[in-house]
Amino acid sequence: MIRVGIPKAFLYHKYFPMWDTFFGKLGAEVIVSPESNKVIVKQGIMNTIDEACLPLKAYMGHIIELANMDVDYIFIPRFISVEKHRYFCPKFLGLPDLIKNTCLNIKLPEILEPIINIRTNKKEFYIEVLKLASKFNKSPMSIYRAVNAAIKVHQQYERCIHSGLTYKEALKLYESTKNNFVENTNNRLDFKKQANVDSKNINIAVIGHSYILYDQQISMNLISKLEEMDCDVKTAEMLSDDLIEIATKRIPKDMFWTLNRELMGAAFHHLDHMDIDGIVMISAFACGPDAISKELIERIYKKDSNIPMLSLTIDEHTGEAGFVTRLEAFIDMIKRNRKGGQKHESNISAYGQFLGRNESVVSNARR
Amino acid sequence: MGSFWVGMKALFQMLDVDVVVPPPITKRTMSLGSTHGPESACLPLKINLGNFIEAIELGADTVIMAGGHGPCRFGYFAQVHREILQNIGYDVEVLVVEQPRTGRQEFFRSIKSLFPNKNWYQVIQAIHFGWQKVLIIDQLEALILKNRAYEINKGDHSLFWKRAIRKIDRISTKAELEIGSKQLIAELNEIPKDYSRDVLHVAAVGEIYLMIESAANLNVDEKLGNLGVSVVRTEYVSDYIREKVFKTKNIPDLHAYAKPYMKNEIGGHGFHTIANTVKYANKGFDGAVQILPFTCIPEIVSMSILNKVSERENIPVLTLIFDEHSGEAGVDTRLEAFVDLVRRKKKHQQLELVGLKGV
Repeated sequence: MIRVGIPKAFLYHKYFPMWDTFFGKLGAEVIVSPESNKVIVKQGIMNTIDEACLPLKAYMGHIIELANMDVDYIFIPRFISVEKHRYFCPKFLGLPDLIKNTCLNIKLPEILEPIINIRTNKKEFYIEVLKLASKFNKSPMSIYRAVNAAIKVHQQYERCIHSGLTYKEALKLYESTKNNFVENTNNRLDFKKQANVDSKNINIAVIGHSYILYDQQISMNLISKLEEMDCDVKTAEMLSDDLIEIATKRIPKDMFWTLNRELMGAAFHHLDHMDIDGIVMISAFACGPDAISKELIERIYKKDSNIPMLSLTIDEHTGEAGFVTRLEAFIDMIKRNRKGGQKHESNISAYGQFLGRNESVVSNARR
Repeated sequence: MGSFWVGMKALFQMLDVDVVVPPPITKRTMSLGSTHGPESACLPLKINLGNFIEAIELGADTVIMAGGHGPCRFGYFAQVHREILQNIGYDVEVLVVEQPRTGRQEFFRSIKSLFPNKNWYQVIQAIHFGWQKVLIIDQLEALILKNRAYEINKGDHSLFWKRAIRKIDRISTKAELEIGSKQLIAELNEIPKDYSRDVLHVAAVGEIYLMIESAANLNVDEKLGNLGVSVVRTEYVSDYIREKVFKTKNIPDLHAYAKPYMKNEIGGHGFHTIANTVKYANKGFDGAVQILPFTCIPEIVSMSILNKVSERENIPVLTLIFDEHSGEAGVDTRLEAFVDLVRRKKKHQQLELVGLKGV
């Protein structure tokens, strides 16, 4: 059986069920690299140029890990565009080239690099899929079936995501029901998460790329840390495309990066509806698109609201303690505000019964 | 952006607009830009922002910025500038001339829409005049970069360049421009040169803004010239406009050169960097210098590929990354070391050719 390796980084969370179904139906065995850990990230850092962003370095680590796992192919798609007139970040555009030309001392298996580009027309994309599939199976009928199944699974997966599941939960659901994902989840989708009903929790929007947020090593478990602090986390992918489309009307020019458009749309959606108590933005150091979108989000939030905002930047040196301190301080501040506490930090008494951060707040946080 | 302002100024003056040219880029421009701009954005965004603020202080009420449609961040600069300028209290209008998505008509229409009370003839005339100025400036600059290494009296070319810019800027009719440019080229050719010198040939590749803006790249071109290097710069504004705006220039040769290393364009000038390095390696150049702003993603991608290009095509590559803190001495040292190494390599190759390997 042909073994195809898929790195658990970058667009893995967004497209894995589709890729898995596609290769599975074509009769290949899909091997996924393990969750990011210190070793993988370190390997990546050693083998990538310094200027690259942390997720890219981690990706490289996953590739090296896969190369040691005895696979026949490694799947590194060249994502150029999945929407009309919109792009991915330049590093996705040159990803296979970058990987091939950087790993000079590591022997890589053959790389599958389909070009995914429907910026102007779809014909080339179909040809690319055919070329890719013909490596595994020559029969047109089975290729057709594999493509169809993959698309169906992907649509269902997106529906799961928009109904309020996080990528992690949705992926777990996919793993558990693998072969009949579509049929099995259809009736289970009605259980929309009832999280927002409990008003005691505070709502935090987390704006960051899925490849940062859902990678435990890179994001240092940001989401579960927030959940431990009694926060309801809202991420960008929970909003449907229509909502994002409406929200992005706030900026005069169409954002031409697919991923950052989603992030900006999500941020502005929450600003329009005022349904959050705070917003956390997380981005990798030296991320090109994020530098732009972060600046716009920050400025517009400051102009139009007084929602507290925390902006976190990660790189390979981030110490977890500093990260946690900032997060805790931010959440404490929101909680104090909610209790009707002082608006200005300088008005807080340093001791006694008027101490801003009094017992009740602390015990609330622990509860 | 380099000497591009001369062309833009001519264009808008033809259309009876009062043009405020921002003062030359100084430390103040950079610090204004980096104070108000996003910290991890690239240098061009910060410098442009500083330029705008300084121009507004001189009385500008509208700023013009170019746009684009990705994947380089440049296309979104204008939006960020608008947001920042309004946020820090300047009441200005930010007009954007978008890079055409479909064809060149879109570009002409977008210029025309800025001037509703001018007719098409005037607009086309103005664009043409500005374009002519850009062309002649780029032509002169290419000659200067090529010949600076041969000059006998140090500084002749740099002096001439300053004079030429001023002269072209003052010209206001097409007839004068034609005569003036002929004079300038003749003058340039008359600068005394010593062609017997052993001069290295180096191609400058990389991101366009940093390459053409000498204040941002700390005069890399001039420094190389003074070290006895004849430079071929691979990006000029006129090339960019031809390729991306007028859409009259095709680059099939670049695609052929880059094919073994990079299969498609990745935005910005990342693709050109790879292709041009291969191209000039094939032409027998002695080296290449890659110039990029810090955090420029397309150039980072091509930078990691350049390692292999350098190895396989046998061309030494020096990468210089610039941000607002660049110290000049560091650049000097690196350039000198690079030139020394390249010169040494060339000498060894020549000795090998005549069979004197051990000498």
